[in-house]
Amino acid sequence: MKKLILAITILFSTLSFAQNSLPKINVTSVDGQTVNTSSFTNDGNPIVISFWATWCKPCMRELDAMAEVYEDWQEDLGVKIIAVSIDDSRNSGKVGPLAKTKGWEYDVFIDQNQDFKRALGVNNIPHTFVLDGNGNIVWQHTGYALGDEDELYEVLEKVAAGEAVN
Amino acid sequence: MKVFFERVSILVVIFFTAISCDYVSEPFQDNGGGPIDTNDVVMRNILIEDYTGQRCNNCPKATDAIKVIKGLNGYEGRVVSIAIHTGFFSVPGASPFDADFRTTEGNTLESFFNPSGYPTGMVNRIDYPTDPFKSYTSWADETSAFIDIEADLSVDISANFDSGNRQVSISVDSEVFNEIVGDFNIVLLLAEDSIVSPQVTPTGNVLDYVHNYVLRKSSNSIWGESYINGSAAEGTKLNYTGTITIKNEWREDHCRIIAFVYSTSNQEIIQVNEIKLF
Amino acid sequence: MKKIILGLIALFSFTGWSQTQTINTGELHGNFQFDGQLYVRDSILDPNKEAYPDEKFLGQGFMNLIYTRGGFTAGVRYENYQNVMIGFPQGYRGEGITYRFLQYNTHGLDVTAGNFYEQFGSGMILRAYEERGLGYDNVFDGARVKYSKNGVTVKGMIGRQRKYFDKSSGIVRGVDAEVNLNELFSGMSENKTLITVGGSFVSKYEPDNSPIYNLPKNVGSWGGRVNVQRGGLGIYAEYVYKINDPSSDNNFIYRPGEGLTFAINYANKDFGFMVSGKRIDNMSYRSERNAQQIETLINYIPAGTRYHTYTLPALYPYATQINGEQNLQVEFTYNLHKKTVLGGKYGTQLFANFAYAGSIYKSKIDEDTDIGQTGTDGYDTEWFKLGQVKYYQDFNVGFKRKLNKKWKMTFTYLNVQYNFDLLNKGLRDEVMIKKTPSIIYLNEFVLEMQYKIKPKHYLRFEVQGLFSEQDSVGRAFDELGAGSMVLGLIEYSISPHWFFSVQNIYNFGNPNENFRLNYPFVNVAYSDGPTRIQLGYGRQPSGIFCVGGVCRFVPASNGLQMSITSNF
Repeated sequence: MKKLILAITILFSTLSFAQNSLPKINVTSVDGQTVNTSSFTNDGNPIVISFWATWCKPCMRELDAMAEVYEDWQEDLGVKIIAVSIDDSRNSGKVGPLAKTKGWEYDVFIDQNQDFKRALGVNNIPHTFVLDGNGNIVWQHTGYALGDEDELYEVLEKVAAGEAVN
Repeated sequence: MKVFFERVSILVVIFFTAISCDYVSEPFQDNGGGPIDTNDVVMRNILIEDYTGQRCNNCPKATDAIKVIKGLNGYEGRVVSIAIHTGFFSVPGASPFDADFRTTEGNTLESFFNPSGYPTGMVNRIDYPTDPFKSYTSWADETSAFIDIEADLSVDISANFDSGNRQVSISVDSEVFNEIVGDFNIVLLLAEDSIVSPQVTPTGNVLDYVHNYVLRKSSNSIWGESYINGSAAEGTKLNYTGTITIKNEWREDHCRIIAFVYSTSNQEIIQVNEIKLF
Repeated sequence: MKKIILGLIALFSFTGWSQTQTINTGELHGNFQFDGQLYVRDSILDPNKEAYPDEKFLGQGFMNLIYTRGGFTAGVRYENYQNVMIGFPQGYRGEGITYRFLQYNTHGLDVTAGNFYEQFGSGMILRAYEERGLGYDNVFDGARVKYSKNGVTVKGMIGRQRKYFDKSSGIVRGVDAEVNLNELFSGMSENKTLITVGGSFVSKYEPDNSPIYNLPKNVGSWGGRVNVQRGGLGIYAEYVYKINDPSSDNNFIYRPGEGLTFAINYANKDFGFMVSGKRIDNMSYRSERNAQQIETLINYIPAGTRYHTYTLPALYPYATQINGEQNLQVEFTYNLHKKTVLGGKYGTQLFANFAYAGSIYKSKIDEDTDIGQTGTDGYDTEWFKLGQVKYYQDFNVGFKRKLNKKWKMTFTYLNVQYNFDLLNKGLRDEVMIKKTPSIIYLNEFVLEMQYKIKPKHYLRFEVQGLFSEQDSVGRAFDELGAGSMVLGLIEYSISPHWFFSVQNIYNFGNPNENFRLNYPFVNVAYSDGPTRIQLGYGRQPSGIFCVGGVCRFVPASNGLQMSITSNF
């Protein structure tokens, strides 16, 4: 038993105890095409991945709030926002139409059996991740309070400048 | 590549078609067979504990299931049942559902075992603690698993009713047929039949519903008292006595006495029996 | 076992160090959540102390750990229920490892050993998924292989489903193939019409221990689906057939099962239109034929109604009737653009939704057999005839509008018809056909306002009303939840960390004067990055939950609720 604990401790100390790279999971585009998350790239610019659902009101507030400033963010920092819906077959048909009528410019995907959500360890939505230019996860936030997009912008500024985010 | 794929998919289809189709044709019911002929060997009986309530509209279906089981070929005398009125559906409400069939014994059982929906029940309290509650549609299956099992001990009940003090003196005699190892308790219960009282059913309220085997009282706590301590060798004879007072409202001519022996380590009931008081 | 673990650890440690170019020892991350409630004795809600748990404090939680290195992933989840909270399925008691898997992914091939979640098509034939907030988890334990190439994805799986801390006695096997025609056929790759087709085979094995019936041990089902997309238009259809599967859900009838679901949607930047429907006939499909409630369901048939998350409308939700239903839902969203007359300065979004769910038409198979009689073929049905029993109807409209720089407004009106016999008592069609329906008629509204006090400081208000007519539908109990109610909520948020809210529900219309109670509730939440801590105190109203004829009563409760969730 002692040997086992020692071995596990050694193992843990050699591991990077944090989530860095994005798991490679298949999600569906609103067109019904299968897309792998390894294709989430942005030419070295920051990426925001936001988990939402058509029935999650705080998620809708977050995406609506970001929609108002998305154009500016794209211009200033080259940010790409990827909105991943965890709606299952009850509501997945509404995802595309909803994104269209709201005029969201995001890349919208559907994670119908929540494989991507599970691989990233997301418990509750909304949950938002920021990836740096190398595709590593550098920041994440759960929940959404009105005005949170300001904090997100500060994080994105740091990432775009190549600074570390604490 | 394409040809390979096609061949593989055909094989897959054949494979699954072969294993997926148990089409059952008439007759759907399987009334033949029945338990093996047992001569004079004492067989292990089955106790079905039916958790129920007067305002639980699907509970009559569970009671009907017990009737069907008791009526199966060769199952007569092998199945004892008790209706435990507990939980939200048995809380008395506005008339006509103001009767109260709850008991401290039933509440203790409910607190301990925690049923999560009504109707539900246990068959010989097997699979404790992982999965003791069985849906009433599976009680027949669970009962049939015991029907050919020989008993490790017998439980013979005799009871005397004293109409003066309304006390029933119960004496249980057991003979051990195979060595029993472990700690076992014995419980004596009083149940009353033919209680006419309202019950919610799927088709509506039945005001003159007949409630049977309603748990009324145990002689000691619902957990009973020690009967076998550590072990009992083959041939051992055991005896246990207890008394139950029949309240004035309960009718002694419709009462039964039930005795069962269960393991204190895993709750499993190893033998049960019943007699009608009159 | 120990030696294997030691060996694996040694392997990982050394293979990490032996890579001279990149020291890649893999990544370990995880997440956890804990929910607990300290119950307070509330003699008004619960005079008989029926609902008050002996433990006084009930808590449950889980923790996941995932290790990844290259194409290799391993994961483990530990769950504990000390004891399970009121309202949750009571079969969750104790603690243990409920999820562990090894997965390897390379060049289109994905192999998993251990636990896995999976979905074929929309889930109508097979879906293993988790919904931790409901206590839903029908994960498989077995093996799964997936292979993808040129737009063709083939999956095969075999396993047993989870049942609380145990496994079901039934074994499930399944194969699914999905073909993206535009990827497979080079001639179609430039085509604007995107077409995907798929097909599945699933079969379950369960031994027959019944002394009463001859039960089929292997129950197979197969299905096909197609998805067509072009521009803003999408069409989806799926059909599933299941052979005879007598079970506790369908009262042990030998009738095969069928399910058809379709959805058509169209959207552009001005408006969106969606119509979807389904016809389900005897499609309860479980690993164990005697399973109850949400235990060991193999497939998933979603409710074809709008999912309401506002508190009062959520008190009367619809639940899919897997034994049979006809359902239609139509939804229309319209965007009034900004700077138009109707749209106002910032634009307005309108929506309207209508949903209907009812039984399928059932008739006797012969003179002497009742509809749904146990041990027979059950009933006959006709595809296009309207069913005899209405289950649910929901018409809702609303709009969302930014009024000015400080105020935003959302308003919704709902008109709901709710079949109480079906949804609260779990009665069967054959019984409901013979009696007058017990339908509760509801008119509801929700007004939500959002006010910006200053940057990062926002107030949110909600006023909700629920007006119920004819709520004297013979509730045998659960009088606590009856009648009209009104709700008021104020929420104050300070970005990025704080949330405060105060809410009260007043059940002014309860037919029983003693139950016209107030349900106050206060909530505080703090979040920082991936961590969120929440504390709430107050009364929660009661509810009833019927699945497959077994009803679970969730009593009203009072107490201190806490929740902590994080990701690392």
